[in-house]
Amino acid sequence: MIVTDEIKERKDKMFEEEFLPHMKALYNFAFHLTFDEENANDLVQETYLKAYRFIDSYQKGTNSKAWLFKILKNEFINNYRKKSKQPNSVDFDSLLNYHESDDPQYVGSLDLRQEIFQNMMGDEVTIAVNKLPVEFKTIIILCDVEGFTYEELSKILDIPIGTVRSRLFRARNMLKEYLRKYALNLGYKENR
Amino acid sequence: MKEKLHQNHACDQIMSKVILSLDGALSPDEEKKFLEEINQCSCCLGKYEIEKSFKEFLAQKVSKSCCFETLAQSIKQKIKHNRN
Repeated sequence: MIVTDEIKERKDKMFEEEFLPHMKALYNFAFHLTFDEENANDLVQETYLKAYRFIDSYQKGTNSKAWLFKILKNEFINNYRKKSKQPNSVDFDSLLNYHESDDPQYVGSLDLRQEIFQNMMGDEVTIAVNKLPVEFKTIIILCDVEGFTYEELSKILDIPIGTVRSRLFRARNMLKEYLRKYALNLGYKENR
Repeated sequence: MKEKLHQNHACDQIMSKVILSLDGALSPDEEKKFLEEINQCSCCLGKYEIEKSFKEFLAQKVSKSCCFETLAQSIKQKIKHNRN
């Protein structure tokens, strides 16, 4: 009985100290995936409940943030799959591996001029990010907003590092293209 | 000297390293070599500055949503409930 209580206490302490501090980042990711406060809230809650249930498979002191993000991403895919049975929804599987067979061609990197994007407001950028197909939006948020490394991204997304690189490259180019079109509509002149 | 180096090195290859450098994916030795190369080519350096600004811009401008204040409490209560 004493041993059980000690184990519980240890788990609770680890949960509190290593897992809960990532809640805001997880919620932000969940919100970008679901576009809905309630759903984002539920997704984060499910993520934490699952993390607690499988806490024994987590090694104390390792990368708890990446571990939690992976759980959340898997939860999202499962929910997404359920929703994909409804009409007019997107099948996540069909989006995965989309145009990812090649290594990125850096030669074709879009050169969005600095003065154009620096004048943009956050709302415009967020709208552009949210317009990206889900796997591209995911990698942009995880890398450029949350700062995960390629190795962490590879583990979170269950894809090889080469695919991380090519997906990131394409996601950024797609985003630049959205922002470029937006800037042109606002009257910026193209200089390339 | 700068022009000569610019003609000799492959800007496209350097560009692939720009992204890796900004994403923190180069080893310390690779990073050192990369910085030496890029500082000798104004074209590559210009592109590096643009990519760097774009990455910083994304981190700053993509909106960050904040969770309900009660979420942590609600999760802890559910865990406690599930345990009992």
